[in-house]
Amino acid sequence: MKKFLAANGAGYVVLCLLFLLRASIPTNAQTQGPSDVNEMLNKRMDLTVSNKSLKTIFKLISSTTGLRFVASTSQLDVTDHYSIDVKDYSVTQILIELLGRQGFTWTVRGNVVVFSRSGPLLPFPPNSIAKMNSGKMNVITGIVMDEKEGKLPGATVRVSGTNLGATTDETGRFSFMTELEDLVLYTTYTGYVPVETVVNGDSIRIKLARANNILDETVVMAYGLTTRRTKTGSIGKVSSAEISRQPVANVLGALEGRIPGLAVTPSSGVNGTSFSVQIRGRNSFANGSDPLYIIDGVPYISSKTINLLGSIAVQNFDAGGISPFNNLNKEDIESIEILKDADATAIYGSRGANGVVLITTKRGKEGKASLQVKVNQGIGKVPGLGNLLSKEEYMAMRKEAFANDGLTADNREGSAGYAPDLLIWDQNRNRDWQKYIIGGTANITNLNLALNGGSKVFQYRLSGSLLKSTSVFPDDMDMPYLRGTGDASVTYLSKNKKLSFDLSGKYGKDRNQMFVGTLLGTMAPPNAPGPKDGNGKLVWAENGAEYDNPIADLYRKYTMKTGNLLGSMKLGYRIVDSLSFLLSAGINRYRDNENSQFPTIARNPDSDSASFGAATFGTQEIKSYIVEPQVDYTNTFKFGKISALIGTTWQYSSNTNMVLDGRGYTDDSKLDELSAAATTSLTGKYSSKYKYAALFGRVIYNYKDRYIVNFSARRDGSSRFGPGRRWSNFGSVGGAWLFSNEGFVQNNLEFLDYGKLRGSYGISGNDQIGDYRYLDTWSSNNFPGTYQNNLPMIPAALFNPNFSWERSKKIETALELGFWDNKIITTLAYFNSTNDKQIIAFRLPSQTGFMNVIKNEGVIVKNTGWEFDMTAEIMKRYHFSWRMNANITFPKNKLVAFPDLDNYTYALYYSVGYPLNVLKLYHSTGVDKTDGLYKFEDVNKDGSLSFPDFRNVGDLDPKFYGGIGNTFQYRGLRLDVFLTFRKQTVPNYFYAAFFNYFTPGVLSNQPKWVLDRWQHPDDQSKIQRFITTNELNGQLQNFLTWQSDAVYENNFYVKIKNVSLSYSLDAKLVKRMRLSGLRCYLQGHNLLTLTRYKGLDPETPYYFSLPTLRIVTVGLELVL
Amino acid sequence: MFYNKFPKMKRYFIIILAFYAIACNKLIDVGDSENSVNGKKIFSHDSSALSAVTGIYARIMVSFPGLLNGGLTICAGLSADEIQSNSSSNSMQEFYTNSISTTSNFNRLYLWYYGYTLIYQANACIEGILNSNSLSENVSNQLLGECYFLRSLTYFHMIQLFGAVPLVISTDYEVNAGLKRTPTNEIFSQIKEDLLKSTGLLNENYPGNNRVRVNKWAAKALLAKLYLYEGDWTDAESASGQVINAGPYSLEKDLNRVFLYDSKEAILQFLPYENGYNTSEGAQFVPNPNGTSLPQYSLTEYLLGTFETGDKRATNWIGKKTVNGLVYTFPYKYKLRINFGPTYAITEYAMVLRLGEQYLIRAEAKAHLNDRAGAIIDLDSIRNRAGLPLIAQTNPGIDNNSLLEAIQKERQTELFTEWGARWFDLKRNKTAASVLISRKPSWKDTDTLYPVPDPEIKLNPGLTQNPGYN
Repeated sequence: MKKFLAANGAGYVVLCLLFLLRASIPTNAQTQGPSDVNEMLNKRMDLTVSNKSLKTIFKLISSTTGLRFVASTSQLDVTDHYSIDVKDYSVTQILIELLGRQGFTWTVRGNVVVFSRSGPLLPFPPNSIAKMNSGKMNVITGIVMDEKEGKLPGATVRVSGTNLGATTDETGRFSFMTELEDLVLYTTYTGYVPVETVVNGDSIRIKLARANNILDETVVMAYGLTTRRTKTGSIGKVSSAEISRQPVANVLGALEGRIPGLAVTPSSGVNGTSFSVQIRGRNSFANGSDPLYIIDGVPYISSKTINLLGSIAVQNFDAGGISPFNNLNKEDIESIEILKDADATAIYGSRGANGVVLITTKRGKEGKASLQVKVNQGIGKVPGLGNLLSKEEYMAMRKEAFANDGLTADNREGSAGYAPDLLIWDQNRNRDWQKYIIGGTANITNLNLALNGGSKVFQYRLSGSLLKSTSVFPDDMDMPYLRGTGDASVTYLSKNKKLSFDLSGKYGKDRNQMFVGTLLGTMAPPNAPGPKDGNGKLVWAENGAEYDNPIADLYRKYTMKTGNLLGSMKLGYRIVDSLSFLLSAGINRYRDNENSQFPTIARNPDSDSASFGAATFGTQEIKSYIVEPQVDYTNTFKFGKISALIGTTWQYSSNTNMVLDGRGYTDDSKLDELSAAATTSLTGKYSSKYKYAALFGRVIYNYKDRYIVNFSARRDGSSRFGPGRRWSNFGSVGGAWLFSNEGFVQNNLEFLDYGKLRGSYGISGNDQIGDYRYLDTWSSNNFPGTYQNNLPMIPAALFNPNFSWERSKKIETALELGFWDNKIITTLAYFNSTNDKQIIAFRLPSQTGFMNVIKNEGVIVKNTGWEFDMTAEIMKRYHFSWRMNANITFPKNKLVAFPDLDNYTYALYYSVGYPLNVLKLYHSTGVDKTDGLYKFEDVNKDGSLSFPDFRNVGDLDPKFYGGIGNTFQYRGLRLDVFLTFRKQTVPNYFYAAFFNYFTPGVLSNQPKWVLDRWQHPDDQSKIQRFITTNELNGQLQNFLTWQSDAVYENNFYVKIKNVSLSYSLDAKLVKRMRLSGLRCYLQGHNLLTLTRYKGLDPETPYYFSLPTLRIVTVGLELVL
Repeated sequence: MFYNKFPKMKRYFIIILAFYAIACNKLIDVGDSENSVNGKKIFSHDSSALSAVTGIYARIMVSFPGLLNGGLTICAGLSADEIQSNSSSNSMQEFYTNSISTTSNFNRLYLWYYGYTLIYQANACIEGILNSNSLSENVSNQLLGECYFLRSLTYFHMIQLFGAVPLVISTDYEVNAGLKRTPTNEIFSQIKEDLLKSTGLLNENYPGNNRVRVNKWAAKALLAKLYLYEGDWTDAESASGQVINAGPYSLEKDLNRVFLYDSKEAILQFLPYENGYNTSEGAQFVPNPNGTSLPQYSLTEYLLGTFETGDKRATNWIGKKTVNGLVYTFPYKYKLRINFGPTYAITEYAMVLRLGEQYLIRAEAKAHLNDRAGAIIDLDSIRNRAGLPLIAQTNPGIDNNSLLEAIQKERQTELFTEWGARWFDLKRNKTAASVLISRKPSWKDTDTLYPVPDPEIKLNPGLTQNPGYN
């Protein structure tokens, strides 16, 4: 250790280090009261008394100030007589004058001043520089400020090594008396770096810098703030800087790989794509496992996708679509906290089981008005294109396939040997359709403006942004994404700090354009006809041989327009010193309009006789209101600090949506107008209401920053359950032991600055089961027409009030350590959540008229795992620094119990004892050496392959995942490199090929991987021979292969997810330019994937979904 | 002092808690869903009760060929010797080869499950209407009559396909889940009882336009069919006779008018319900006239061979499409396929019961009752319309067996691809084995019944499988 320190040339650090350790032992209650009391203490008065008892003097002061005085008679004899003659002295000064010199200190509770003799002093550390000064009392006064000289009320100032000290008043001032000399003060304030100050003279100015130290950074938790040092729960934080550095449009995309236990996966690379966000695995067997999202206290849409209609965005392996987070501007976000364990989430009750994502947006900051202008311009491309067979290779493949099948290529449509590509179409044409369709360049332009400023009592922030992003589809298709956002917030804190007010409103609007259909056209034969003739019309055949135009789908336009309003308000009032009331309320309104079109131009005239266009229209409105009155009590006693919170929630959400079909359009250009349709019909209509009420409370007890306990509880009621099942209780207990504050650790493990052992247990619930499911309802949902002018209704569900929330019992234990001046901070956590009372569709024999009824049956799902994260300052020398952070998660998911699974169709997909994402498939024994075809294990040896031959061949859960970030800084130049990695079984190219009957050898192009195929008997190959038919030996070879493990790969990949290079101009230079800041930057996203994966992108494993784009942007940031 | 205050505080505390509890329940009450109606409320008004009952019709007519919406026609048509599928990978092929797998999804979902959803809804409506005291009497009678009919119609066809099935006549799922198979004669009795109730409750008028909801004569016509299948010739003759003589019905002279919405021959039709569809049969059978797509189903050589020369039905009710020089036939009673164009109009309704069949029922009953002359008259009214020579002229002295054979032949050519008539005739006449053994390579005598879907047996161990399916 000595070596380490010496290497850093900082031997003196040892001393400070020890000081820090000692000093972080909290003192007893020295908290001065809130503003009103301090005001009384600061009240100035004249006092002339000669030889009167203390009692009398106190009475006099009381009559002027309203203060009351309490003292233990064994310590302070109030009958003693004193004389004083002062003018315009504050009460504090008077008290100092009277009693201070006798070694008394006082604390204030309410309007009561409690006297005590300075408690027994802690033994001094041997190397303390504080010395006892016999008898003489010093008055220590000073002021605590932030970097911009703003006052910091409530900061704790203590004499290092003692329990003596004070808390600053609302002007940031403190004062206390001590007989010690040569003091070192240790000042702490939440969110700031603690500092030590050597007392030098009477008036002390202490400046605190915002914490860069992650231990003391503010971390948002449920209904409050904490720090990494004192939190008892598992909370991960992503800061605005980390978000801002990434050229992603959707904030969820910026979370990838950042937090252990949080798996974020994009669905595809289309504009506005959805993200699957999962915190510590899939908890629910059959219902939603999405986390609860809360933006500035307002619950936000907790579903992965928001679109009603299909488009290219839904072409995914895992259900994809459009994200509801698109019209939130990432530049407006201050931080995102991920709450994971019961301690952090149980206070959200029935909604917290899947974890909580807390999004906090930016607020104005005190200071003169400044305008931040941020402009960037970038390009996006699909990575990894260009590995398709060349035309020659393609032709050879086709010939080989026909030869393998014993067929001769012919030109008779419908015959098995039909080969228009070899015999009818132009033999010289050579087009890479993949490049043609998705090889374009998306142009991304982004403009952000933010105006920020305010006085001490009132701050504001106004921001606006514009984003335009085109697509990688052919240029003439013009499918841009446009977004505008606006954000306004004001915060107010009255001069006497009693009344506070925070109001924020955001509006975002976007228009997303893409198309309906697939990317199958990217695999068209290199010499397929088309796409267009000389007149720009789509070509569907050549020399009489037809072929579905590969780009026809691109003409099936899809447009989604959304508008999103988010408003939040917080009104706070500090009733007394320790007690404050907070009313928070919020509103969210989300609207969208969708239009998908099927014009005649996109219809194959040969196979589709419809000479009319069709269009579908979707509209949706989601509204949500929330009101949460809360009372907060925080006070510090001799036996520790207590913060208690009690509050109630009332929430209302509604969702209405409707889908209309328009048919018989005669004009392709009018497909966005419902009125132009010849016939219209309602194909779907849904509306639901959800109400939710709760009473919640929390008590945090902190004993000397050494032992912290947190109890939280919530009583929840939800309209989603039947009468009698609506209310339920949730709760948790969490504790932390900061053992590094124990003497025996300090004395023996000097390299350890921070050590915390924490654990929690609690119960939360999942009510993501949809609305009204307990009612025996009759509905006209699927029957929107009329029967003889009567609206038909059908029974939609059996009456079933006997089901309730899914329950999640979570256990967490974690060890947090900080070494060597907290240069290295690590957390190792183990979690275990048992999710029972799973709501499943309990199978009924269909003679009951229903296939199933909902029950909380005995299904149990368990998620366990290890998480590790680390931040390290590897080097800091002169102007150069290198910091690193890394995290890794090893998750494990298991279906622990499912009674009578075999009676369910679920048995096809699930096995008890295996993960929910188990792959139950045929096991491929590989390519047969003799005939070159994939063969499969006949498990039950009945000579044919069917479902009973399925077995557990793997699972789709990640084995481990994580991220590694490195930051290098040299003066104004900063380089951030962030890698993500993951090991996971995913489907590869062949999954898509076999699923879509694109078996290598048929009339469709292939990637070069297929060249590795079986050719001759005794060839050892992993890829079967080229074939042109699907049915072989009486089996559907495609279908069998697709349902086998032959099309999955266990795959490890590392992605250079994010690289950001920025240069901030020297402050002096900037000032000369009359600016406050100037920075230029280059950012790259998804730059490189290191993998052996046979597909375009292992993250979006379905070959025909658009992979995540590689984006490079260059930008400029000005602060005026 | 503290102790004195406490009881009072306690009282306040309890009051506050109680208030809170009441208020909280209000806070989270969202009332009924707007998408749906609570089961109790729906039968409290005439109009919503009507919605519940017309829901049965709508459910029958949703687009997929479910049991009573073409499913029966196609499956039983394939199982008999009427139609064959033109697609090798078609999951319907197993109906054609009479080797239906016990896990067949079509069998389970669209025949068995579909049937029981209709039965559940009919049962729920019957219970709801009987328990309601706020419905007007005429509405209540009409609706009940319809429900009894629709339940009968469903059971009638389910026992034809599956034999004994669990007889479910209430809605309690916990009880119904365990019911075993009920002998077919008991189900027949239930059907008869229901239909008799239905004829008593219904009157002769059809509610609303056209003949798309059940009236007395529809119930009577189904009763006639039931008697015929039971071999109760006297009752069959009487019931069909009443329908024939009822007044509103007459045979359409033009064969192309028989399946139109305003067909005079219709005793009951179902109203097409889905957009873009006329009937499910039309949608399934009639191919795209353009392009090279084949009809999904073609008529078998056996059926085509049954038509006498000059039979107008062979030209009017059978369509042809030539693809790559090959001629494919298809059922063409319904002419309209799926059509989403602007000229789309609903002109064909799905025929459930028609007068033509009643003539044939009466002819068969009379023949069995030795009223040969009367039987010939009824048979000739059908032959006459088909443009065929009349038996009364060509063979007035026909013997009874030949007459019965002629009637069966006429049923085959008149009622082909209608509700599995041919399949059921083969079964009730016990000729399935002798006829199909040469026509279906893998024929087994146990193939006359479809298998009870395996998953159902797993979920309700009280169910047994039909012979030949283990």
